[in-house]
Amino acid sequence: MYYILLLIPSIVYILVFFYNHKSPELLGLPFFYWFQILMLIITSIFYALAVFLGKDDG
Amino acid sequence: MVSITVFVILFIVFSYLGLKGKDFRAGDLDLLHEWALGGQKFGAWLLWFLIGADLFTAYTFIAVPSGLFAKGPVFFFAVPYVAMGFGVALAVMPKFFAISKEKCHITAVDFIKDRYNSKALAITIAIVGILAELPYIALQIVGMKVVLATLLMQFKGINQNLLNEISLSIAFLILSWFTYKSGLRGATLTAVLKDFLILGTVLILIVYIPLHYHGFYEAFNIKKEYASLNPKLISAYISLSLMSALALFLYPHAITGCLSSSDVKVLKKSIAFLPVYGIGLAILALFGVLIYEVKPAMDMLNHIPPAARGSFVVPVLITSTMPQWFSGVALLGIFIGGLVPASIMAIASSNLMVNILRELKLSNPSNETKLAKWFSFLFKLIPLMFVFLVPPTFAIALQLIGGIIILQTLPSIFLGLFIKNLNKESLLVGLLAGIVVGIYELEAVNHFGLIQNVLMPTSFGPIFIGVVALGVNLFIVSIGSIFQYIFRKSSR
Repeated sequence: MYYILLLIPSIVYILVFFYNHKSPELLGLPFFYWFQILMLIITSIFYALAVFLGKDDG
Repeated sequence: MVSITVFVILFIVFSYLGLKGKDFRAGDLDLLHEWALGGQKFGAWLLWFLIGADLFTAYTFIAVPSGLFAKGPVFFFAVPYVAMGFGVALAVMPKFFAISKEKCHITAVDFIKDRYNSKALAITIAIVGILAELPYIALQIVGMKVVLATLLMQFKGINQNLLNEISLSIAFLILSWFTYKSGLRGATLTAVLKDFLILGTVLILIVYIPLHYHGFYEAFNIKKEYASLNPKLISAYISLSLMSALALFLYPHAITGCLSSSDVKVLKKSIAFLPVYGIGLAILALFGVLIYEVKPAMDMLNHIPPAARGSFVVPVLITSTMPQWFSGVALLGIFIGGLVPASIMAIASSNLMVNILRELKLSNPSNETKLAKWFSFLFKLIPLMFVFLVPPTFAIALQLIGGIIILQTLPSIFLGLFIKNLNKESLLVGLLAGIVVGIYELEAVNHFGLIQNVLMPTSFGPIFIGVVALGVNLFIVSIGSIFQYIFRKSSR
């Protein structure tokens, strides 16, 4: 469970074709850029879930 | 003049904090783990700042925006790299920390020595760590030179380069002095100051500029081809971000940061929230495109020789749009943004040097701390001399080599954590083979000239050379370890 939660954000980032688009834009900023910035926050949420829910194997 | 006054005053505050660091959660600084790891007393917040400081270096302020400015979206790979890098960290560092804490390790080499009991492997990994760290420190200095050059731009008729190098030397002397005195504690306290200044600057700029210039429309209108990644470069984008993510926590300074944590839970918590830190990095990267719509900034850039233009993106964007006092604060933030990581890197390198001396029986526990302190001085001096003597493009080229060679320590350190019976001879051979293949390919794709390109053509499209080098390394390690396994079984 711990490792799966850690893996999900990386998989999303590797699927470049999924976010490699110009639209929808945000204040003129192409999707390619703002999606990846938004993903940073989502990544932290996943990692935090892993740390707080996953078993403590450290 | 106002900007310089603000800059100098804040630099004095910075030096004071660095020196005062020695009394922070005080301990006996004659003990190596007290000096080098801050006594392992750092909580989640301080750790967040400290590990974040490793990431937010002059490289991110100067090289990433410069890359976006000149080459476009492929350099945004820094964002997935950050996100994935902390995932890798969460997968391996808690285990590494637990082992190190139990056995009182200070560096990765202590772990290697303990796990494989191989003098040759331990010394090789220590040397690779130092060799990867030195050009990284040099790059920090290159970044600081850019900041000083921007500050001095307003004065005509003086020898700007001489003044720049004198100021830089003074700053480094002060830094070396308080690193010697306070060790990692000084670096951590100053990291907090640095982060507040930089995050503040980044947030104000990213609100002000799009507000003033009506969003990003104009910039992406001028640079239409930057709106999305060229599909041919997707393989490059993925391989660069993935390999950099794997390398991030192999760097000795990142390991030093992790080991200064007070316990494993604290370490996990602060790493989990570090991707948020990457938002600052992403915004800085965006400045490389945003600058195209800011006319005063572009006018200033046009006075700079084209080869150096990219590295001035962030400093020039600040001075051309903001009042003088604000520029002073922001430029100081970027300046110490190079100094603080340089301090942590020098501490990490000198710990490795102690490892080497210990293996060669040239040191004993009573003089190790003293030696480490003096080496931290030396490891700032060498890169400083280097920057004065060779052109900056050369420092960047060496940094690219550093990234590929540090990746070759992955099997010994990360895999060694999870797999007990790796064959130590093949770890050493694999490491050296990976380095040779990596450097050879790097030279080959750059036609044995100055290294600028780190991608090699394949049937999947261009990929980062690190992939191939690590592939060769892993192949050798697995063959060697499988043979060892079979041999042991049959001899039983």
